[in-house]
Amino acid sequence: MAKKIKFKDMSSILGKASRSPAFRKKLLSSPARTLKAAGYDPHKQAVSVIRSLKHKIFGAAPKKRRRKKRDSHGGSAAEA
Amino acid sequence: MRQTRVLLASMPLSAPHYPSMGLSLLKPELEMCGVACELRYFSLAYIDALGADAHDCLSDPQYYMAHVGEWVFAAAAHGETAEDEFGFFTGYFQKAYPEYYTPSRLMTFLAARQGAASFIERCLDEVDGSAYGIVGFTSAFQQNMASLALARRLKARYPHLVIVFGGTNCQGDMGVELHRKYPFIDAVCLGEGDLVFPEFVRRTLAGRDCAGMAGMAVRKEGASVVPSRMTVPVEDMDSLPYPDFSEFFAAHARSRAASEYYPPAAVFETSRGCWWGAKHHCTFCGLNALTLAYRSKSQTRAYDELAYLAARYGNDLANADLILDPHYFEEFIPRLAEEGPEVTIYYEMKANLKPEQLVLLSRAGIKKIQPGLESLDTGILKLIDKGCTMLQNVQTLKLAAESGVYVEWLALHGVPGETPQQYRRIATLIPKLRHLQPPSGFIRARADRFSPYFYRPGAYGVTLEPAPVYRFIYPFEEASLRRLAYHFDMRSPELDRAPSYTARAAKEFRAWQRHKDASALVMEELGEELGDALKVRDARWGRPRRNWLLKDADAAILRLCRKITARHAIDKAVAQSFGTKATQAALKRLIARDLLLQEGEQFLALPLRQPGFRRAPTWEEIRASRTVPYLLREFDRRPAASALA
Repeated sequence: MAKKIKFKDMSSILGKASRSPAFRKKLLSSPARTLKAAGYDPHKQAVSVIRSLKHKIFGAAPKKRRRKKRDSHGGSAAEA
Repeated sequence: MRQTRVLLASMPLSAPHYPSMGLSLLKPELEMCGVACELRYFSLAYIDALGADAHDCLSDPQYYMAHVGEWVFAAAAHGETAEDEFGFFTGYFQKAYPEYYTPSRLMTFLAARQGAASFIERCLDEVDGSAYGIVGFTSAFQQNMASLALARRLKARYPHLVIVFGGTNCQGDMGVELHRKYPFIDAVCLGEGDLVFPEFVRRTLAGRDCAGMAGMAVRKEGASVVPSRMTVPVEDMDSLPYPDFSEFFAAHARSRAASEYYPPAAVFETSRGCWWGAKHHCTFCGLNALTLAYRSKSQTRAYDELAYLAARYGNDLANADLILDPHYFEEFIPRLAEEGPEVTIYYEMKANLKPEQLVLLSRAGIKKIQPGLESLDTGILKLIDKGCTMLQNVQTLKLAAESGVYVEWLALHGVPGETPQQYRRIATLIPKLRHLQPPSGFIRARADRFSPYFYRPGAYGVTLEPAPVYRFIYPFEEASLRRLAYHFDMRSPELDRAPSYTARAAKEFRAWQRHKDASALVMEELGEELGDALKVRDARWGRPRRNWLLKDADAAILRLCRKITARHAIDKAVAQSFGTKATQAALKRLIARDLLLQEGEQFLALPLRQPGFRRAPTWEEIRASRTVPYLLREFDRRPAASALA
C-alpha cells in the first residue's frame, strides 16, 4: 500500500530533486506519477507543493555560505 | 510535600543574542520574596539541535510575518501528528513571499517541523517536574507554540505543576483567550509581571486562592476567571532590581552553536511606555499594549545599572526601551560619553534629533539607533501621527552618517488615507538620497493589537482581518483567532490598489539598498587660499558622476544648510553678503543639482562634510572605527556642544 507523504519524506524528495536533474524533470512534469512510482500516496496537497516549484529555482546555483558570527546588534532588543 | 521552587523557561524561537528581560527581572524579584527560581533557555538548546543556518532560516526577518517558528511547533503544541499538512506552503507562503519560496528553504522548514515534537520531548526529559511547584513560560513573538507544546507535556507528566504564561503574547485579550483555549495553562499574566507574578507565586505556594487577582487570569473549578484590572504597571522604575542574566550567559557559553555564531549581549531597560504615544499615538503601533504612560528610571540609576551590566556581562548592550527619555540628553548620555565604560549600545528614539544630540549619542557608544522614521513623505507621516517631517527624517539620516551612527529603519506603505501621488514623490526623492542609509524594508502597514488602527478601524475607513498565517497555526474558529492574533491586515478598496501605485517606490527602495555602498556625495572646504570655495563630489549611484567647485552664495548656502534652515535665515545670512538675486539663483542651482533639498520654506544640504564618511557607513565600518566621523572631529576641535548647532 502506498504510504502517506510526511514532512521528512517531502524533504528528501525535494533534496533528491535538487541533486538529480533527471529526477527533477520527472517530478516536475508529472508529480503524481513520480510520487506513486516512489511508493507514496500522491495526495492533492503534496502534488500541489511540487507543482508550485519551478525548474529555475531548483536549477539556480546554491549560494556559497561563509559561516561567520552574526553581529549582536543585528536584531531588535524588543525581542529580548 | 509541596514544592516551592519556580522554573521559568524561554522556548524557541527567540533572539539568540539576548537574554529575556522579563525572566531576568522576575528571578531577583522572586528571590527577594524568598522563592527559589531557576531559568532555562531551551531557545539556545534549539539552535544546537537545528544548526545556526537553519535557525537563521526560520527566524529570517524578511518573512517575519510568516511566523515560521510558530508553524514549525504548531503540530507539537496541539498534540497532533499530522505530518502531511502542506497547505502552509501553497496556501500561504508561496503567495506571501514568492521570492523566498525555494526548495532549499522548504526543506529546512519541513525538517524543522518534522523534528519539533522530538525536541520538545527532549526538553521534557530535561525537566524534573517533581522538583518544582510552578513552571512559567515567557512568550514573545514566535514563542507561543513551543511554549504550549512543552507546557502541555509537563502538565500531563506532572499534574501537580502550576503552569503560568506571561510575556507580550499574553497581553490583555490574547492572554485571556490563550487561557480559555488551553486548559493545561493554570494562569496567565496579562500585563506587566513585576508586581503581580511574585504575589501570585506567594499566594499559590501558600495554597491561597488567586481568583480575581489584578493582572492574572486564573482557573477556578476548571473555568477561566478574568480580573477586572488587566495590568498593574510598575510606577517607580527605580524600584526594579538589576536584572540577573547569569543563567543566560552560562547557557549561551554551553551552547556550541550560540557561542560560535551569536555573540551575546546584555539588555538594559531604562523606561517603559511611550512619552510620544501618550500624546500622539502612532496609528499603527501596538507595542505599548495596555500601558502607554511613560515611566523612566532616574538618570543616576540608569547610569549605575548600565555600568554594572557592562562590567559584569561585557560591553555590547541592547536597550529594550521603546523610546529614549529626552531628558537623558541632560545627564545620562553626557555622563556616559565623558566617564562611562567603552560600550556599544542599540537604542530606540524619536526621529527629530539635533546635531549635538547625535554627537553625544556617538560619543556615548550609542552607535545604532532606531528612530522610527517610517516614511519619506510628510503627508504620510502626518497620517500616521509620527510628529516629524520628510526633511527632519532626511536630516536624521544625514547627521547620523556624519556622526558615525547607524540608523535602522523601515519604510511603510499601505497607510489608510495615502495617495498614489505621495509614492510618486518618494520615488522621485530616493535617487537624491542614495548615499544615506536606506530602510531595511518597504513593508505594508499593519494594524497591530492595541494600536489606533486596531481600536478604531472605521475611523480610518478599513476593515481588519487577522494576519492570514494564524489560520495555519491555531486550529480554532475565526472569532477565537481574532482574540489570539496580534497582527491584523487592513483592507479597503483603496489599500487593495496599493501594490500598483507603490511599485515604482518599491523599485527605488530596492535599488537604494543595493547601491548605497557604491554611492557618495561629499563636500570639502578648500580653505582661504582657494577663495573659501567648496568642492562637491557627487557619485550617487544611477546618475552621472559630477564634481563642482562652489563659491560665493552657493558655498554659503550649502554651509548654512548643514541642518534644516528656513528661507528667512538664508535671506538674512546669505542675501546680505551676496544680494537677493544671487542668493535666489544659487538656491535654484543647488536644488536643480540635487545638492539641496527643499520642503516648503525649509532647506537641507545633502552632501556629507569631509573629512569623514563619504556615504552612510555600514555597521561593520562603524564597529571597525577606522574613519573618524566629521561631527566627532568637529566636537573635538570645538568642545562646546553648542558650536555644532
